Amino acid sequence: MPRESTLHLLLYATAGLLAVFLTIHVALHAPGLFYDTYKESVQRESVRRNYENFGWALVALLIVAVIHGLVGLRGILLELRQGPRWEAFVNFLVVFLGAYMLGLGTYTLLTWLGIMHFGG
Amino acid sequence: MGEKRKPRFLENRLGIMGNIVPWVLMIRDNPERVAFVLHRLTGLLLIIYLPVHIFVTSMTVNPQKWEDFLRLEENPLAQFFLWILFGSIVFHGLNGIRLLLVEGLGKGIGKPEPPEPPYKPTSLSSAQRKWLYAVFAIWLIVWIVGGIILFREFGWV
Amino acid sequence: MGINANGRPATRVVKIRVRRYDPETGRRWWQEYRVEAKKGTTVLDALLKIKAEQDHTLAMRYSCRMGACGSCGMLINKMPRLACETQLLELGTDTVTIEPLPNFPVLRDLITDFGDFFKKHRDIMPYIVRESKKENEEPYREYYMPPDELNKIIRYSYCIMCGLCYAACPVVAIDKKFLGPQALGQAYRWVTDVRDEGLRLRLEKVDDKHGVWRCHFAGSCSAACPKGVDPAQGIQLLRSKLVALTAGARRDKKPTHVATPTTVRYVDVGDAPKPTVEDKSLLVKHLEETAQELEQDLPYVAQALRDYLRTITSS
Repeated sequence: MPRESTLHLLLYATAGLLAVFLTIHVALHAPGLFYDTYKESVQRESVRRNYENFGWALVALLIVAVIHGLVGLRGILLELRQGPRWEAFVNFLVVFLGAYMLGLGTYTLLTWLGIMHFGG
Repeated sequence: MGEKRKPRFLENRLGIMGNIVPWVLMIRDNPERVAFVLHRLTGLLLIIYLPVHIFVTSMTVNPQKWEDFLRLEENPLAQFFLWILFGSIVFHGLNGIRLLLVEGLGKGIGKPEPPEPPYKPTSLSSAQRKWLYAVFAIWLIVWIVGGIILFREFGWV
Repeated sequence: MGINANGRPATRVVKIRVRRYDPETGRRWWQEYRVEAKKGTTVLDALLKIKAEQDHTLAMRYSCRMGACGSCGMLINKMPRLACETQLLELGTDTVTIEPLPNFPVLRDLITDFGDFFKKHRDIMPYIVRESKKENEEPYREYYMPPDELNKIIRYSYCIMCGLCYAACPVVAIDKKFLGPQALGQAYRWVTDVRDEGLRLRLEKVDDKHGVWRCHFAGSCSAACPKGVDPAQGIQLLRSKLVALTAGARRDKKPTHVATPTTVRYVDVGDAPKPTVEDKSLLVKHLEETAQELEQDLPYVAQALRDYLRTITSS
């Protein structure tokens, strides 16, 4: 694990980025802005257009959100209980969750871009 | 008198109850504490939601699975959760900007000047307190207006 | 309140509920007393009156009775306060509940154990740390420090270690290893001190899993502080300093106007090491001004400053 100060610098940096990225992300689904209804914004056709137009921006959002969320979660869990075994578990959990989310998110994008093919 | 036993000291830590039950500890003039609890709760909700969200988005590549999921969103509970989620994002974001200024840059908490009676804490009466009230106000307005727009589409109102 | 028709201060009977604890049996219970209170009667007065007249088994800790020693911190009406600085009638309730400070182990009744709290304070090294070994180990005089620099830290120096902030903190309530507002506020006080060079050493404890990053600015510490120390402010300033350092900001420039004791030849203890002061003109100017200011009230200090000035300008 990196130094605590490095982690928290990341937490603050990603927080600033999220404030911008997430506003756009939520606005994309807000009725009346880019789509007339929320339901239209989650149709498969809209999703496809999003992935094709903002694909790599979505990966950036994914990375930023995962870092911010997991550093925050790690802090909450470290406050909940103390002890070396718990700390090791928390670090493992955070790394595992991070790998899962980044892996799955990237996989989804690559499938949409036609670089990888979904089995179904 | 009974026989004396080995003294046992009482661990008197308030625990999580001290954070979320308002009458365990009543600190006066301290809306920052309310913001702290809300920030934490919304943060927890969002980090629990994030892996679920990523999993759900991965369903979009499969048309059949995505149709099944969209049918799930017809459920009023899911629609209500969407509104709660929206409120959490707005509060966590707005309060997060305030915390970024206060914690990350040390702004809005006054200068460390010599204290004068009646010893009012500078950090709680400086600009960040005004930002905090602004955060609460903007959050409630955006959340309620967003709710009206969302629930109108879902046919609730 | 105020004065009665017969010229005596008006009194009111206040019901006091004390949360008691017996370490021998492990029993914890609420006990009620009734005390006559008049304007100015503090909670500590009432407790002492109860102890003298009604129940001598009631245990509490106190010392100065005037808000200077920090011994009588208690949870009064669910708010951490000093018993000696809280007046019964000003609380405005008919029943006053008194509990031991939370987040501290209870020894008996209202007495709590401050061992952990003091250890955390020691952990952040609450004293001047110099890079020079000689200055650390053989100090024999005070350091000189300009008043405007003192003003930046004096607020935190008013800490009386009463533990009210520690009792109010929502993070201390869950994380037993968290340094807490008192220690972190003091850490800021020492790293900001221009005479101090121990930032790196203190970071070992402060930049830790249970150090400064566990604070989330709930602000309860400052709201509870009876001395206006404002630990929340200190912690945020400490943290922003650390964030800037981590982000690669240049380290704070060395203060150029601090005179160390080893540079002041007052008592003959051998050769002084070279002055740690780099910009001499600033120091000279500052010392001259200070000497002038002190001429009237502290002539001997002014004289010492002039002696010192002569040694650095002649070399």
